[in-house]
Amino acid sequence: MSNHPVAIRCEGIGKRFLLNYTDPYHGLRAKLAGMLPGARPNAAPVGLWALRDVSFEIPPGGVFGVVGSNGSGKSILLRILARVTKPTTGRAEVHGAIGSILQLGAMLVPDLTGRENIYQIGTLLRLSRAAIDRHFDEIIDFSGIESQLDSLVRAYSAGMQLRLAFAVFAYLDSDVLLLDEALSVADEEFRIRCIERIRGMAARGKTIVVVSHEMAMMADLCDQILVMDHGRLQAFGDARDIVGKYLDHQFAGTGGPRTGIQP
Amino acid sequence: MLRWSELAAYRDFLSMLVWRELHLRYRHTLIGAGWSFLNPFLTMLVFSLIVPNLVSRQTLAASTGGVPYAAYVYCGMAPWACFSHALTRCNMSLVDQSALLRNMYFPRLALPLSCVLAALTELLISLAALSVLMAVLRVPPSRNLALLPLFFVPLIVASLGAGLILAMVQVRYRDVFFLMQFGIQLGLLVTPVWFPLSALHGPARWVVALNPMTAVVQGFRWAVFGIDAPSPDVVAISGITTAALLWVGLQYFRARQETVADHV
Repeated sequence: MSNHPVAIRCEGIGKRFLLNYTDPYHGLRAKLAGMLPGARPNAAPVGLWALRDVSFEIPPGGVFGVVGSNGSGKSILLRILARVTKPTTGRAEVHGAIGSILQLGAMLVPDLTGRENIYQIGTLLRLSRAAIDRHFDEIIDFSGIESQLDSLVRAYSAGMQLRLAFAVFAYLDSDVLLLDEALSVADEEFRIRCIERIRGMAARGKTIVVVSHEMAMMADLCDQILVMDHGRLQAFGDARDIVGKYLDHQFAGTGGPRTGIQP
Repeated sequence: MLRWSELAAYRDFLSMLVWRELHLRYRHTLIGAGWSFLNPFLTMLVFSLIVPNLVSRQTLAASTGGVPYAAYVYCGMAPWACFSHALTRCNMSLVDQSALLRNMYFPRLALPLSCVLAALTELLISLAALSVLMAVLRVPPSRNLALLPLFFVPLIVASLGAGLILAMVQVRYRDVFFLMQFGIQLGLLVTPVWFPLSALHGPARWVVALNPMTAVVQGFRWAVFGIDAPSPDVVAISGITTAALLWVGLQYFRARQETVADHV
């Protein structure tokens, strides 16, 4: 367990994507065509800032929510924290081991059985095979899908996929845990158990960051919430205050999908 | 930095990747892992049908050191097939796992490395088939057999080096897949799998020596049959291209791995 006084620190994070509209398919053809004499020069790629100047600090132990409309930069923020991608500007520090569920479908292998996927997900999240063996029965119990354990995951519903992945996630020993939208497909019973579990992990000193659109759940689940808007951090504060304000804000009609295209 | 120590922390994930590759590939097939030695086996049949007709019986026996041509070719085909399977898999290893790369952190090197390890597992099956073939044809193994694992080293180095380059280039240029298939077809023709290197003279010999698989194939045959001892000049040239391949592969992969999630 990390004893650092800060679990996550972001300093001036920005993430810029270059969208190349003349050659979106990475072909050699477009490259070569551009070299021909008299060729039209390829249009310069368009820059899109998905995140801009985001700075915050999160202390260890607690549940932190990230909310915002589609395209506001929540997921890219989590991907940077998970070290999947690097920020274009600024620095992100995460202290301790990281475990994440950013997209369920990406972690699961549809042609393997549920049992085989438990090992797949577990080892991907740096659990050793021995540790998975040790927790195997508890993982199955938590998931509640014992009867489907030996069928292929391609036959699973979204809810069952979540049950499988979250059950493994619940036994991770990582210090910082990241969850993107995962709980939205859970039924009421499983969601309550997930929330209990996440609160329990936070009580044991783990730092959990959750992205969700379900404000009622976020108010119960989180200690503090970050509000993202057009790639910028708009607010960061106590969960209940933020949920109240954010709902007012949305009713005022400023929500909705946005993209932050800027030159 | 390629973070080898981090790769060690992901060794259980790496072994899951290798298991999954082999399991998913062969689970639903009639002869299962049999496919992994059928490819070199059928190629061997084709060469054995044609090449002995092109030269006199005496010339053939002299150039293969008395080893039956079928066993001679199969012994060279086994490492060549491993190399070509490793390259084919590595080439698509990043592109096929784009969702995983965009959403999970893990050492990117694990994907191409698992492809090389899967191909090596198939090589072991091929070598078991070779021992059966040798028993049937009554070819005794040479006393050099204990040194066979030594020649796995250049095989792994060349496969990983070329595999890293192919995997990463494929992310940017989707044409590479076709070039690679073409390259592998031509590669077999210029590798001394179906002919002895001693049959070549002058520039042809040096061109073939540049091929990283030349020393590997010769080494395999020397270890298994005690013939075709690799000559020092070939080992040196082949060794240099092999080492260069890995060095370039690691540098290129290292330079690109941190941004691969944005491009794949």
